[in-house]
Amino acid sequence: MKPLGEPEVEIEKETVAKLAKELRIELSPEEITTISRDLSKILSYVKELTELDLGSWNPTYSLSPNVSKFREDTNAPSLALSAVKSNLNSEDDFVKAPRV
Amino acid sequence: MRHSSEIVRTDATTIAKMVSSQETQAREVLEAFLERISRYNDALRAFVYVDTEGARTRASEIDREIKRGTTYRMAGVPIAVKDVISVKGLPLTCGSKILRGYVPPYDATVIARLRKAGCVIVGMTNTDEFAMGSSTENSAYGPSINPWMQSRVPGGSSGGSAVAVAAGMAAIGLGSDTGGSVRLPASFVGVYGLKPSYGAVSRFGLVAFSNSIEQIGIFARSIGDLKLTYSVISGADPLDGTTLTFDWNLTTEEGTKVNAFRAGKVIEMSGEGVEPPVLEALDRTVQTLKRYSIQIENVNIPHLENCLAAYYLIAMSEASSNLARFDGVRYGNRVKTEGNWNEEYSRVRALFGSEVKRRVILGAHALSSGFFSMYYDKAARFRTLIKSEFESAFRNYDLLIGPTSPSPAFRLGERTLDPVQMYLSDVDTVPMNLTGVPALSVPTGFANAEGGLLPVATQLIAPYGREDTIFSIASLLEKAGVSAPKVVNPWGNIL
Repeated sequence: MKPLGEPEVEIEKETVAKLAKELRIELSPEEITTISRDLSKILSYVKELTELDLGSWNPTYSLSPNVSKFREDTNAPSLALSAVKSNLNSEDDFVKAPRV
Repeated sequence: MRHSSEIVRTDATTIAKMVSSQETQAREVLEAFLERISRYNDALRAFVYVDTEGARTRASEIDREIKRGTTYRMAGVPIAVKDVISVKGLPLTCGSKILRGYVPPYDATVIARLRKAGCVIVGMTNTDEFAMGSSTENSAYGPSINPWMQSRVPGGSSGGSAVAVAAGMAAIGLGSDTGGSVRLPASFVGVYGLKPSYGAVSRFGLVAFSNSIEQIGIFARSIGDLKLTYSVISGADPLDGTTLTFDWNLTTEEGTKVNAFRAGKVIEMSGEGVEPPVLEALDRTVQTLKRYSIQIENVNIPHLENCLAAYYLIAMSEASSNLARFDGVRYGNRVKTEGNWNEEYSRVRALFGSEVKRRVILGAHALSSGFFSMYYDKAARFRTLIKSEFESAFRNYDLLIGPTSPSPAFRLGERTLDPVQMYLSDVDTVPMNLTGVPALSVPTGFANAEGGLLPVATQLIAPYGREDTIFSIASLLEKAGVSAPKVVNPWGNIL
């Protein structure tokens, strides 16, 4: 294991706040501070990987030998509507959601 | 009729035989395990939900069916299920406040297969939130505790199922292994923990964290139990397009002939930073295998050290995409409808715990246009490189071995403040997730700590799709007495 020193990569609080806004995750100012500190540490740790020359290797996205395998189109029973609806924020037969 | 402590020590294979032959009843077996749960779960926090009545009903039903002549492969075997796998009618929260109140309307494929085989689902077990963690401390329910020592974590993220099996609260446990989340807790509590080959076991009904690397895995106290459970849950499933059936058959095969085998001891896993008891256990494993005429040599996986960084970039990127679905509208904790969509949605997603927030945000950063080629794409290319290093090792060796973890179970709170220290717990397990090969954590010894014992383990790693090799080698270690998982009472008293 390599020793962990001071972060070499810095992630600004503004970057964290912007990403959180795009991801629709409300963060407190303290969380923004902690997360930017943690992300700086993590990205400093991965720096060694980012410096490897991997241009000659193609990316691997999936390990499955199956390629775009379709299943048979067959009839099957549906899920019980009442069980599905009990998980929804619903009123009568409608799904309730905030204003867009 | 047997004494209840004798029942909980009995392996699943024997339980199934006894229930099938009506020597004992599924209901009697279940009560013995339920008694352990009521006695120890408050201290260990293995289960977050126990379905006492549902399990009793099912056990009695199995007893009635057996009297009518129905046959089952796993009759009356009590199973603990990690709280990330859908069981119809039981609450599923992924250890998160965001999913409070969600009840899946369907069974995961593994659950459907286990039910059909006559298993009894006992309940849902504790996990790091959305399976993101290495200690099971990061759960909305609070941490699970290692039954060997009160001050220690059980490892994670499938810590609840590992503890349930180690402490005799279930005969078999299901977990998920994205970066070591079955093997690490298995190592910390002294039971077997298998991560199957990618695609061997259906992920349908598993809440997705990082699709391209995760697999449902098994905790067991004997190799026979592991094989039995694996043969029930594995195999192609039309509901998961990545699954396939391997062409060897565990139920008929006597076991692969292993005496001409060559095994490679991975140098990068067994050097600096590995604690002496872990190395001693590894050495004991090597010596035992040599006695069975297995040739063992050192082997290099040159880029093994970079796996952890690649793993976290891929896992976090996939998580940031997968966790977008938790919006409080379709399942779980509900949004208010007063504010506008973005405000309410953000408020619900603030219920994610700090580790989940950290990973989702880092993942989004690694995928963003300015950083994609530097992070996610780099990790994906690295994956091809490390895969080729494993493939070249497997051209010379039938099996690779190394530790499961460089250390035994660490203290509660020891690694929670520094995410990188926590991530380093997975240094020896993530390479097998990146490459998709199967790996088993085998309990092979103990370390002395604070006047007690802590289990340590050795990892057996086989080429893609060769779980049969792992089972054969592990059976030798079991036969030789190198590994002998025990049921343990808190704290560290062997039953």
